[in-house]
Amino acid sequence: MKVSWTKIRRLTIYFGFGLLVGTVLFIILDVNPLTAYRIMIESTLLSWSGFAETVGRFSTLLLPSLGIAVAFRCGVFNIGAPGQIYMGAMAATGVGIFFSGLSWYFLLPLVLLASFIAGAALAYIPAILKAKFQINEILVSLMLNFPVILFSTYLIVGPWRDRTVMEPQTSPIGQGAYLPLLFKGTSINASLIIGLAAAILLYFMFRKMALGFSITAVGKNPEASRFAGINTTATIVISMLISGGLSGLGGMGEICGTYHRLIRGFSPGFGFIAILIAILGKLKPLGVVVSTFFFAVIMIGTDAIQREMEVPSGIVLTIQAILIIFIFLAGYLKNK
Amino acid sequence: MMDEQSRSVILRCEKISKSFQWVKANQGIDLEVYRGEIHTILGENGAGKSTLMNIIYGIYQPDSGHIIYRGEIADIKCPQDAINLGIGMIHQHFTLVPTLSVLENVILGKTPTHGLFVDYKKAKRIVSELSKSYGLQIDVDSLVGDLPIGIQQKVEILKALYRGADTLIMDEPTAVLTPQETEKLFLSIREMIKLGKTVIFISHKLDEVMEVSDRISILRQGKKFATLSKTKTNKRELARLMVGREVFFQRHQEETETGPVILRVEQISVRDNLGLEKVKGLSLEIYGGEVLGIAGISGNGQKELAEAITGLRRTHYGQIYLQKQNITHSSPARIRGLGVAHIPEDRRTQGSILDLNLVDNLIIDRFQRKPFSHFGFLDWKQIHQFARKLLVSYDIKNINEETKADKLSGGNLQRLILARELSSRHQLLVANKPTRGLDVGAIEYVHSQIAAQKKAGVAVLLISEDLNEIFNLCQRIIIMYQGKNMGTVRLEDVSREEIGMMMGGTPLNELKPLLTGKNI
Repeated sequence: MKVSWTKIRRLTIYFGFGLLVGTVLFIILDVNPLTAYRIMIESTLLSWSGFAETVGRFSTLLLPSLGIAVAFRCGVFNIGAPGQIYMGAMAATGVGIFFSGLSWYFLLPLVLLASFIAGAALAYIPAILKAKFQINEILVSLMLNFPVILFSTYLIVGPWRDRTVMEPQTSPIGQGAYLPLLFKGTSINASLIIGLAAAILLYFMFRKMALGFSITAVGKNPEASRFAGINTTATIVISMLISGGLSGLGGMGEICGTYHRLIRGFSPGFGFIAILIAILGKLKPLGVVVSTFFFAVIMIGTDAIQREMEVPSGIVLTIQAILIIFIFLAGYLKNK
Repeated sequence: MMDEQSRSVILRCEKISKSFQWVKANQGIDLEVYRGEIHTILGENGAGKSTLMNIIYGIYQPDSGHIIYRGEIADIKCPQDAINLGIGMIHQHFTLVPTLSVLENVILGKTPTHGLFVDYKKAKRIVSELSKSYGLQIDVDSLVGDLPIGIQQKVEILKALYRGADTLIMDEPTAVLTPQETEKLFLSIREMIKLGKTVIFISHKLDEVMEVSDRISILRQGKKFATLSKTKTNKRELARLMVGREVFFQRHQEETETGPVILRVEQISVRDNLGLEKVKGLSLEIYGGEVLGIAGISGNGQKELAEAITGLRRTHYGQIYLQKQNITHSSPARIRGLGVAHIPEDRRTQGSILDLNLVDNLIIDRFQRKPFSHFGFLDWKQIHQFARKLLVSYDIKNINEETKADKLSGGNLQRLILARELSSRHQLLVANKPTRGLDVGAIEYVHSQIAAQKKAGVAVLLISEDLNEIFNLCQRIIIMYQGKNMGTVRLEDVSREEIGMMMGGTPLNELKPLLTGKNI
């Protein structure tokens, strides 16, 4: 990946503009902007616990973002990451509950496999409809989110419900399905390793593998790819299976790494934020790693401002949005 | 017409340079255009004509140099600046709204108003008068989408005039026109000159240039080579200046030994995307070492025929054999693997992936096979070696191999596609309009490559609208009309008129009684 100084300078300038607009907002609200920004940095990068929280959010967002990048690279607009995350989470929970007796070296691979397949299976529906019948994948993948997420609620309040507690949640998964913590006292678990490994594998796939080349070619011009003899149907389907599978793994990471049971709303909007992350990362695996970390810092940092300075959450979300928009501007207005 | 007034310079370009990444599109171009003249910018595709015009019109900013309009330095930052100065441009691809009327299209963006409302009465009066005074004769109330291309172009001209253009840049205006429409366009241009306008005309067609221009500036490889008065030059000199060497308008008619039947198409029917039957029970055979031409007006099923043979479109009925192999329902990849190369109709959307670099474009048909990949892993070293060799042997020079394909000129892009397709192992070449939109030099190159294929024993299916091309390369041709074969003829047995009649729908067996005494 080429990192040029002009690029970094441009990013810094635009981020500075974003901070400036944020400053104005803070001043209007009678909040000291310097304190706010200090909290934002301290709570994400300069304190161990804050950094751990940021890395935790990073690993939550990384897998779905990579997944979306793969589909978008192939020109398939997969808006179904939220549903695919829930599919992975349900599969992980189901396997984790019903095979809870197994020891980890059987159970963990089983959980990984099941969640990948579950996410991929959901993504297969819009993929095959697009590849075979040219049905718009945006509509299909988006609409599939709703029944899937509602079905998970059904499982939580219905058949899988843990009757021993007041809160609606499922029974816990077996210990063998837990993703180990990487650092004691933090929320950083092995899903971080899975995410980074996926990023490296995808980097390698796009660089060195015929499959990666097919995906890029089909994404840039499906017609010319077909004329050159590339099987575009298969390429579209495979890219979507990888995409959905990675989101499914992302859902598994939340269940097996953090909650150890399925709860409602464990993934608030992350599947949509992943779209922004993938685009900001230019759909390149390593670019997505960087942009995911940036998003994690912004999200955790602004949360901290809200918590510690009692700023209303709407304002915090506005500031998040402003910072993100300015960074996107830096990416698109590169010629002037 | 060379009195003092018309000799005054209206537009002057001084040392205009512009580069795109590795391509120097314009290098220190000086140009003087006199008031009231038709000044042609002649050059091959990729010579920098469009870049220069787009700089004058404010679409690009020059890297250095400046433009002087009416004696003052013109700082043209965007097309609106150019329009305000009185410079109009007619693009190759029109910028009209098909669902609006001619009148609405013309006044769009500069609308006479009456309070809050559009003053259609006034608008109609102005536009009708304008149209009449330039001899454009357009019904201003008709819908633009219903008009033929030639009239749509007139609407574009009207639009520019309505915005007060004194100098009109026309970017290859005849590329989309029939010969009759071209004649009419030239009449309108002369009318405009009479009324004091200046026209900058861009073209690479020598006959037209000699017909319409007062003076001609020749660009080659981003530099201006000469400005000549039409009366002091001729076609041959212009061709030499444009291409940079002598051009021979040569026929490739060497007799070659024909081999066995390579392709046999039996009674196929093919449908288009809307389900209409575009090829109706067509049969043909091509021998090795033969170029079989498919003549006919576009849209008579040629495209569907090519796509059926290459496996890109389902054959509804009938059989296709490559040698002994039935390929009727094989995949494009398998048909390629059996030895079929394909130069598609549209090189920018079907023949190449513009957003990928040259190397990538050279391997998109074979990267999944040995030696370019092993077990799904690409061998980039092998790929680069292969690509470098091809770029040299197909003479795609001075261009970094990491350049994206969209930076290539039409001629170079076609060379890239030829390089890929002809370097594959093949016994059949399907070439669909392989020289469409190319300039003299590039056409000559493509023709010599196809002739070389014939010599090498390859069976070639050449689809073309251009009878010159057909006469140049083929011995035997099929004339297609509404998906049917109007007749298979040897070229020495028919005249152009007879081919023309068959292209218009008269089958060969009905032609015979019409032309009694002639033995076909």
